[in-house]
Amino acid sequence: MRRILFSLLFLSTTAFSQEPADAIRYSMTDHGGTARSRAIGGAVTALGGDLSAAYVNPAGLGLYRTSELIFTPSFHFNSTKADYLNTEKKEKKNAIDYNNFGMVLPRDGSYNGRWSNFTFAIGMVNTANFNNKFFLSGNNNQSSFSEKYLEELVRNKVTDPNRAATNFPYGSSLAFNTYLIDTLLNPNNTIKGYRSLAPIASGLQQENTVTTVGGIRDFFMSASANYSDKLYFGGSVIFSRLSYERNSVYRESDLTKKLNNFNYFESEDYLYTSGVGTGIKLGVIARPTKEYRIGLSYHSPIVYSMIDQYSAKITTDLEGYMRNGVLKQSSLDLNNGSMGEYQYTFTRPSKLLLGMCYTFGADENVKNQKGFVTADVEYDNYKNARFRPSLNSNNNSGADYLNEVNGTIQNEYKSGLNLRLGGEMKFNTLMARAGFNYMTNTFTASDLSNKRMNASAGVGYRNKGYFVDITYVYQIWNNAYFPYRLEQAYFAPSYLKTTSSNFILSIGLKF
Amino acid sequence: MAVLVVGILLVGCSTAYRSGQTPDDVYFSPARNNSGYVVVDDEGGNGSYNAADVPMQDRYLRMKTFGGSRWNVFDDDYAYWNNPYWNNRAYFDMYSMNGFNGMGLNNFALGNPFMFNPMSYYYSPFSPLYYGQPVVVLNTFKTTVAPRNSGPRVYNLSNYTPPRQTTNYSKFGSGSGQYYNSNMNNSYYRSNDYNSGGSNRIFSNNSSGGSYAPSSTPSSGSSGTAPVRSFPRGGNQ
Repeated sequence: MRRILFSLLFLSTTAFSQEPADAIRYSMTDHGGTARSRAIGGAVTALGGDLSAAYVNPAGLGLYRTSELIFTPSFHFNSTKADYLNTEKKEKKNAIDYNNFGMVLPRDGSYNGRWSNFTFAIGMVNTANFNNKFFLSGNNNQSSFSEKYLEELVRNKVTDPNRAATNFPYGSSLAFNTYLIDTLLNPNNTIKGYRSLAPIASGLQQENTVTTVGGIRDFFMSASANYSDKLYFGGSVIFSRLSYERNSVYRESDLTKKLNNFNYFESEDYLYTSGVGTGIKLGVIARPTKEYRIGLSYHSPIVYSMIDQYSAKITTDLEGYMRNGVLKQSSLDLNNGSMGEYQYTFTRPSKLLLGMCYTFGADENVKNQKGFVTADVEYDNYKNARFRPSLNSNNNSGADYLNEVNGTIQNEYKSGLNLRLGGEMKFNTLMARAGFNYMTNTFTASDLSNKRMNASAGVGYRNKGYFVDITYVYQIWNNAYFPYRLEQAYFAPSYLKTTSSNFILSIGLKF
Repeated sequence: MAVLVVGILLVGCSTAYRSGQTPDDVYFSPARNNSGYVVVDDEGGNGSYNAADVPMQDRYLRMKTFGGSRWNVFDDDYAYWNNPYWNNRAYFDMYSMNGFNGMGLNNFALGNPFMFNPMSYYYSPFSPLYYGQPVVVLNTFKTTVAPRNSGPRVYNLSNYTPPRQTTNYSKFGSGSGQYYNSNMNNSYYRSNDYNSGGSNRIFSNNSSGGSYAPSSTPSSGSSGTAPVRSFPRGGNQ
């Protein structure tokens, strides 16, 4: 009996299901990092000499001859425009975080006179920022959010209404117990299906507010070796910490405002995902002349041990249907007060980066240093993102479903390219920088897009052993969000366009 | 916490390049043993390094003022054991008790430009002696009291991504941006002819239909937390 109950719980659908979008969210990361590297579009694969090398191309640490301590806070001002059913809504959210910090400690080499120096670095960098908020609203006479509960029950052939009332605690059971959906009977009073009380034909106002917080922080330990100032080799061990928290409030209201057994319903869903993972990064930089550098870096897959915690709640006002007033029910009511929980592993796919750089005045005298231009291309194989049951789990729960998700990832997404370009002009102690960064769309569907574009500019001052860099990054990020999906009815995406103004400040010390 | 640690480090550290050019490793820096950097000549410096120019007294006094006895550890002669200036002199060798006891090293230290070299063991942020304790990373997972439901958040993936080979994933309506998954599941169908205007999902194969009562007992006239509905098997209410 317990096994049957478990398997039925396992089949329940939540608003925030384990879905391919999760994989892209956790895989589509950026370099993050120092204000200097952000100002030049993150194109540091061949550049080196900046803390960002530790988590982009560790070989670049080999260019360090002096120790450095750096701290980078950042400020984000996000605005997301949601276009849903031809209605546009805008929502804003601001955040502050410490983008990165770290320390670089070079040591002179001189073994056989060839290995010029060895460099070690430790620190942290934010590679993803999930802080955002968006609101969508539109009128719909084609489908209702509540229909996904109907599909869930019918798909699972739930002919016993007692099962409908208990076995889907994160979706259909809540809708059923609050009468958002009810049974549909044959003349002989046997159940022939389920029906929704939402009056689709007369029109529904659909609204959804989604708030997300969290990010990915990579802690790194890096080492690099400099061979005669011609070749640089490096490696980093990454300890990654992921957290993602999402609150969604979805509401459907009757557009007619008439008494028709439906005033509104509201579905609140909560998800908290956290994970820790490890991986390595390896790189090499060749410096055939003082001015030219070519860099190559490989970022291994990062295997995260993840845990999801989730809950759901539905509130209905059905204008006295079945003599009820406003009814509400939470998954906690059906689950002994506990949130749903699931442990699994997620593999973030590998990355390959290639970069070139040209420096004007690669000389130790600061007055002769005039600037540089640098460019990167990064290949991300998002199709290789994988969910698997937890390694610690005794059972293989969810393996089949996760395999299905993995297959869907391969169908729904494609590999991506990340193109970066940047440069700096240096005037003794003052520097001016600019950069550009473009991440290609990873949806296979031609009419959906999640491409990103960053334009950046910054200034820096470096004197008396200290340096300060200030960067402004303007980001435009497209995405598509589906409030719900249906198998036998029309459903609509909300086209999201997030614009973000980021101010990044790096304060550093040379010693 | 990390911000605090980094802040303390930045405030506490001093630089060896206060009076010289600040190196920029992005371009090129000489090996560390090639003496120091040339003096910055923004103000017409002569390009040579002069240790006597480094105002270490200021730095020391400032630290003592703000830190009080906190910095006393640096008065200990061991702080300079790896300083090349001291190591060049036998009587300042940390193992030389004669030099250690008799030369008044604290006075010498005031003029030592490397006194606050962060690479010194005692001053190193990696040194547990400096901060007292090594950094401990705590697991900050949120936990519930007694999570019991195990399972992934399951989605009906057939409507997430219809199989590309067999399914038309066509847009509905010009510019409306609505989608329709034509990969219908034939075990049931949608009908929206219910008199309320709502939609139905009906089993096409009713063989599995149960003989259950049409509805549960409602909580008459009530609002608030909904009870779990219960149905007697095979009978009417």
